[in-house]
Amino acid sequence: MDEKTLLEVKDLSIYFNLREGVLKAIDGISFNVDKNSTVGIVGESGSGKSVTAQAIMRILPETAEIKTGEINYYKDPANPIKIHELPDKSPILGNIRGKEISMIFQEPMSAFSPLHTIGHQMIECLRLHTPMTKQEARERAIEMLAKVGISNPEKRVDQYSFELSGGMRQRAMIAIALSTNPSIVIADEPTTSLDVTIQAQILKLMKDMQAEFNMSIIFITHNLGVIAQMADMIQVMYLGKIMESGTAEEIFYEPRHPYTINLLKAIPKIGSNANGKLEAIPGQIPGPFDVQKGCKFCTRCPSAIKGLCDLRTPELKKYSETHSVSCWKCLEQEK
Amino acid sequence: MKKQDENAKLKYYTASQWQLIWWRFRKHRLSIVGMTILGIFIIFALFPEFFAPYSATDRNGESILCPPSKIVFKNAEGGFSLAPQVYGFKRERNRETLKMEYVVDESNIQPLKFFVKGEKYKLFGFLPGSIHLYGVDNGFVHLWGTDTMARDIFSRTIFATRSSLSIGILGLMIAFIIGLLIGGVSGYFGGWVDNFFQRLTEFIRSIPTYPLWMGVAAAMPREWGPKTVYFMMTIILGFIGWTTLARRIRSQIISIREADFIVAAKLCGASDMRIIFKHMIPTFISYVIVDLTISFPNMILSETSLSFLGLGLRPPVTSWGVLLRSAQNLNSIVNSPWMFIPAIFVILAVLSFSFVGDGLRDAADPYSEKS
Amino acid sequence: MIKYILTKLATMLVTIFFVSIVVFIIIELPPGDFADNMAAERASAGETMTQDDVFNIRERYGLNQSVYERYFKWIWGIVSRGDFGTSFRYNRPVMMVIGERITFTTCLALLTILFTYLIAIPIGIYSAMRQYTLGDYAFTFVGYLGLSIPSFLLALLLLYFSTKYTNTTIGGLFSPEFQNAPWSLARFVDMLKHIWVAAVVLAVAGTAKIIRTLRATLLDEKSKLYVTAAKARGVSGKALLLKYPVRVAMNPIASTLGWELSAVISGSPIVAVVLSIPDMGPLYLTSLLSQDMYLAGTLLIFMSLMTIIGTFLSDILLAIMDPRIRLGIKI
Repeated sequence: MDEKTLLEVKDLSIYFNLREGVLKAIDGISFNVDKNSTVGIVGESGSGKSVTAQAIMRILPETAEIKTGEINYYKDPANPIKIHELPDKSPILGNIRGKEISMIFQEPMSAFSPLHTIGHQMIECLRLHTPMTKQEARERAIEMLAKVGISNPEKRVDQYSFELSGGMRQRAMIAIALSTNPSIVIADEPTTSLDVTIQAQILKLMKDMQAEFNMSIIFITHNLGVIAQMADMIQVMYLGKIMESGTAEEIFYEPRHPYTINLLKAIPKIGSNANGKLEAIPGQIPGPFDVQKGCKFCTRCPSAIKGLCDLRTPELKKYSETHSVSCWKCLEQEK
Repeated sequence: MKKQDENAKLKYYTASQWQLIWWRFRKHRLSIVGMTILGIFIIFALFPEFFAPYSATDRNGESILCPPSKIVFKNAEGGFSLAPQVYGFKRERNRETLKMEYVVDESNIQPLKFFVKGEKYKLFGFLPGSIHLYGVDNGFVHLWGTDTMARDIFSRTIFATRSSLSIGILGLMIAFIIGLLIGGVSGYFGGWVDNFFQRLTEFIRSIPTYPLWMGVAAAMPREWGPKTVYFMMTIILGFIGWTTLARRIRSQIISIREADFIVAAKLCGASDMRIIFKHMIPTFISYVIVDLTISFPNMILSETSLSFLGLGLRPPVTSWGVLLRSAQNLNSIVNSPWMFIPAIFVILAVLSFSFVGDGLRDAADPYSEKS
Repeated sequence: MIKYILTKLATMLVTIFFVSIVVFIIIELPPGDFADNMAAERASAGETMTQDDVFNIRERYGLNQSVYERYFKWIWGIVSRGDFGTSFRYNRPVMMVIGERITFTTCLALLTILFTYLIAIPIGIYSAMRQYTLGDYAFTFVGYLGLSIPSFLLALLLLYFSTKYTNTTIGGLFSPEFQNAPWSLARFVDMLKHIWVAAVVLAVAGTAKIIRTLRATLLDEKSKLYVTAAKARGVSGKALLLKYPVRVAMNPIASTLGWELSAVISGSPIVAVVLSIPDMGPLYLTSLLSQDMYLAGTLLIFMSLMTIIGTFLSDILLAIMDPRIRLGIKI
């Protein structure tokens, strides 16, 4: 790590203890979030992207536990905060949540309380993390709502989430997340539940806000097209492991892992191959309890090497300062 | 190992809905206990003549309000023996209070025998028999004492199980039919029909249930025979219970009315009746069965309460409520608390049905397996 | 909001009208009329009534008019003069027979509701927050038991134990010295001292039911996204639970207030009979058994009125608590 690093996730494993057995949702992942940059995490559902976000916020479900690894927050590099070690009731953790790191959820409808006004929830958050009075907090809330492009904010602040449209709701969600001026915003599929035109507006809004507030974003999505517009660094996840990581250019122009390559093939493109079919990745994601040795992708990988990929886990190999891949085939090709 | 796993999986994925429900139900220990108790009750209700040493109306001479017999496990020399023996009672006047009291008669001890020949009876009205589960050779044995008319409370409770359970089941059937009709029509057709029945249900709910049906029950003429009263009571119980069932059926139908498979059936030209019976009912019948089970305790409690007040079943019909009616005044319960014993049956029956109902509800819910 | 209240108010009036019809049907239901009954009673006592006597009684109580005439006469009497008819048995206006019994029943119902919610809400929250602990299991078990014991049986058991072990009876409503005294604070306190037993007995089933509902809703709400979102904003501990899931779970509880009241009023006669509380319950039972139908009908009307007003109040309470209902949005 270096001085640009704001958040470090190191060798993090998260297991869910369920009746049916232990589910390894995340299995030893590491990545850094630099100051004022955007990290994208891509993967199919069940790849552990959201669990990663929940772990950073320490809002994992009761059945989950951080098995190994560290989450270090370097706001003050001389005095890093070990988020993974904080007890549940610690005031430092209370300060991390909402003040230092805030979160934008996928479904703004269910992420707002149905019985409290938008303003109420914003003011609560502001009063919790700043010494503002109720009146000041209210003014700040209105100001933030205006900033994220909600018209008539004086009226909206007293409305309930179900009175707003989907796009407006997500804007309000962003307003609430940014109101405390956090250093990191985690956006967990923020545009998935929105129309495509609204999606673009929200993405633009987030970029504008990032420029204005000088914050880092962890952007979680299954949509490679969205991430191309947003992220500086990209982590490609599959079944709780990072398959490939690199800058956006590296991932999109020099993908090395067969999974990344296949994902990119599955994006519809205008012009090229217009009358051909999209190439889907063959096979199904294995069930969460199907224990398998070796590379997690080998059951669906077109270039899996029998006797190697299905037996031993490949190491993460660096190809440049920023680009690393975990794949036997790539290693073999080197030789 | 692997092979076994796969077989188990295959079995799981090909199991029918009912099999799945049963597998999940089995995991609830309390529900299994409840089911066992209910099974015993049903056996009692089917063969009360066998389990009860006497009939529900037999009188033991003058032995009114006789306390439960004392059972000892002793042999003739006073040592322990597995064969139970019972003491008889004799009546003596208490020297201080001058009241007649029952005193255990140490000299009158006789073995409690099983599968004894006793009073003749006809099972289901035509199968003759005379074997009873237990009895004594001379005189009477009253494990739970006698009532104010010297009748054996144990025998009466066993016979009452039959009327109480059967009236509950019949009442439930009537409630179910009304609920299915009103809830079904209301949910399926929607619009003003739905509106009308909704208002009707709401309206009926706004009149306090027991007082309303107490009023109806009180209108039954005194001169009606026990059979007519029994029949009327099933109808009254049915009317007490139908609203919850109708609501449930309505909401189930509404939730699937617009489902794709129903629309598909409609497009194929299936008739309303065919859609309702072939497509809709099978999808929610399991929920309805759960609701029926959960409603049953209400039936038993309603019957017991009404009979207890003297507005329900009337003697000579014996039901749990009728039995408890005689334990109504303070004097009788303080002096002869064994009159309360039939209450245990009521509580057990209701508890068991609640357990079974809860187990079924969890088992029938397709989402119950999510972690 | 005003529109909502007005709609509910209109529904309430229509309901009351229909209730009056049903009550009148019940009044008319018993075969034979009061005159026949009286004749039969006299006959069994060894006296005889002539045909003329029977006719005179019919004439006097208007029993020989048509059903419609009698209904409208009855309703008109109620609306114009508050005259609910005459109790045949006591030979006095029904309202005089009922007297302060309405107050007793109202007190009993309110006290029961108060007990129910005071006990059920904390236990429900506790059970949901400490799911699968010993306390949770214990409350669940007691809850099952509470739902399975018929209320009259519980009342009888309490009577039995109080008589057997404390040598006092818990029945009745007043100590002898207050029996016929005019209302005073001391008399009211004396009433509370007696009535609480009945209120507890009546509260048991409802409490058990509400604990179950509250526990289930809370467990459901606790894992919803808006709670996680609030947690992610830094809200924690008790504030998080009380402000969000508990607050939301209160809504179904508030909406059942009307039904709860209805259940209490429905169950109160039988408990009042057992515990000899001189409220509307025992009077209702005796009036039914002696077919004193105007008295019975009036009592049934009052019991229904209490339920209807209770439902109306709980509807308004729910609208205050839940903006979705207030704003007329379908959930």
